[in-house]
Amino acid sequence: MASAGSGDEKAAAAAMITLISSDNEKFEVTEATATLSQTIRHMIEDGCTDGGVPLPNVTSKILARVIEYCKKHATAAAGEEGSSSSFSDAAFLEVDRAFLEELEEFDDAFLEVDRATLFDLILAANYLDIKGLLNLTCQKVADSVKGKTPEQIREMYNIVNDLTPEEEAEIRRETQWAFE
Amino acid sequence: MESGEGGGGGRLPEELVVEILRRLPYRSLCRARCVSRSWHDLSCHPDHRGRLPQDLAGLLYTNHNPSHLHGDFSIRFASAGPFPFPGLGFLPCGARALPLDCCNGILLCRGGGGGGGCHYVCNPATGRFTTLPEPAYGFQALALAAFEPHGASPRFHVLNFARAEPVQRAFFDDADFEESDGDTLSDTDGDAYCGGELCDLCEESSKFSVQGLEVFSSETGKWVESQICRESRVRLVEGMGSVFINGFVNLLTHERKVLVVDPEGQACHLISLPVSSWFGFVGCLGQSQGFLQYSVQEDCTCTMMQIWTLKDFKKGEWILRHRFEIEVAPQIKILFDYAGNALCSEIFYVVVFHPDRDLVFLPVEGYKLLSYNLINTEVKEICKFLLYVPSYADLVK
Repeated sequence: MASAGSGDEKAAAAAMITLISSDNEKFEVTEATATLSQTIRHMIEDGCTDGGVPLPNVTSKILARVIEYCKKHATAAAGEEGSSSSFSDAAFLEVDRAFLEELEEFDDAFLEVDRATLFDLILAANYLDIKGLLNLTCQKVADSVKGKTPEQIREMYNIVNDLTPEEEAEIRRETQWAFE
Repeated sequence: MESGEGGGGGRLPEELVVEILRRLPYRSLCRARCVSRSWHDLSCHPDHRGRLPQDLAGLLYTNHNPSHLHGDFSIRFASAGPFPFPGLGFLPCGARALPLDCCNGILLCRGGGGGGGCHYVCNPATGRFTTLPEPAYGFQALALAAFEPHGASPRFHVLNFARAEPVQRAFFDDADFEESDGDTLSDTDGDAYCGGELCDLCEESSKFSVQGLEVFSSETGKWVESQICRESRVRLVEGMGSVFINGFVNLLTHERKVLVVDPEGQACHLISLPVSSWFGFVGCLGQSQGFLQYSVQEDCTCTMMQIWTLKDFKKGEWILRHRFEIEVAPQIKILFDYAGNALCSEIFYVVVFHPDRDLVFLPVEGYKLLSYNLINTEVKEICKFLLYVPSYADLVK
């Protein structure tokens, strides 16, 4: 669906932002892509993006993934704005739906990462204040916890159980039904 | 985990662990409390209460018995958890508000008494409310969808379904009866309803076919007319409340289908109900553990109940989860219907689903509320309602 937002992309092409990862790699992105991050949006508004935006908390490996996400979703946002005027057009809604499905597929594929990367993405999404990405990644972890026993959760995320057996039994007793 | 690869809960700051915990259903949150001290403390800390899922507090219901004291209805609360219902006294109309729908802790009410005609969306736990402006169609059949219930600022949409004049109903249609078992249709062009009608025990006035839809958004503060539902030709079962799940508002219709509406008002479709129940038994819709649930009694002389779960939302596939007999007095009379109009008959069972547990609530005999455990079949009496008539005489000393 590159066509949906290509016009907007061209318009914004002039304004490029340079992001610099913790390992000093530089990434050129459009302003539309960069401003999915509220943190960067504020920096742009304050006019302090000349010479690049240093992101000391994000490695190049993670930043590349984050930019991949932002590019895709910036296109989506541009497409949505364009569609609101022709809201009642059934054919357009159909296209819209196909695009949303494609976006969903992208998100699913995007989340196919190991747990360490997933946590890095959560940390980056939080630091850069990218609401959609934070929601997506936290939901992925929450979904993996759903329906699991405490033992399984600890094993999955290398968490040490520092509760005494008595304390654990007491907590279980409070909502016994949840463990059945 | 501090050491690079792997991934552990310890690596995320507390703030982000809460971000994950708040996305769990309540049952999973209870389990997560056992994982470690820090998870337990985070999930129990009062500072995070506003962001974390909560246990069911109880059932709010309305009695429609006219009384001199309370006008035409009274609101009651049957407690089923550790927290009391804070009441609606904070509304401009005082406690004289009629709850119409409830979603994720947010309540949609019609003002009674002094605030007659006003509609409010409120959060009883925080005492905050919004007064809804008058929609173009006037307030008709309303449904509430509240998003991000544990977020900083809950957003909500109110759906106002405009009704047509009640259609003159005719007779029982066999073909329609057979059509609805087995595979279900998910019908977007609205002609799933083929005109066959059931003789229905419900009152004529409680039925209407949907002609239009307006959506109120808490973000814009405005009603916007939606183009969907115009030709839906379904009649909503009024006063049953709606079920907001999987991002869609679900409502029961008299055509034995579920009307599924996107809360933005951009899409709707119909899902057929799994069984052809006896004349007019519309059954009850609810949600439990992330799935849409439907309960219905098998036939009119039978106290056997069926509970169905919508296993596949996209395909509209139901599975029969439970079948049970309620052992209560044979003359069952339910005066209580949990959201609104008196559509109940003497043999109509109302089943309310516990959102997190394999438990249903059965109001019986108008003054008793039973809970039924679907796993171990245990029946418990939740509460009994006693009539209280004040006496101003002194007790004998």
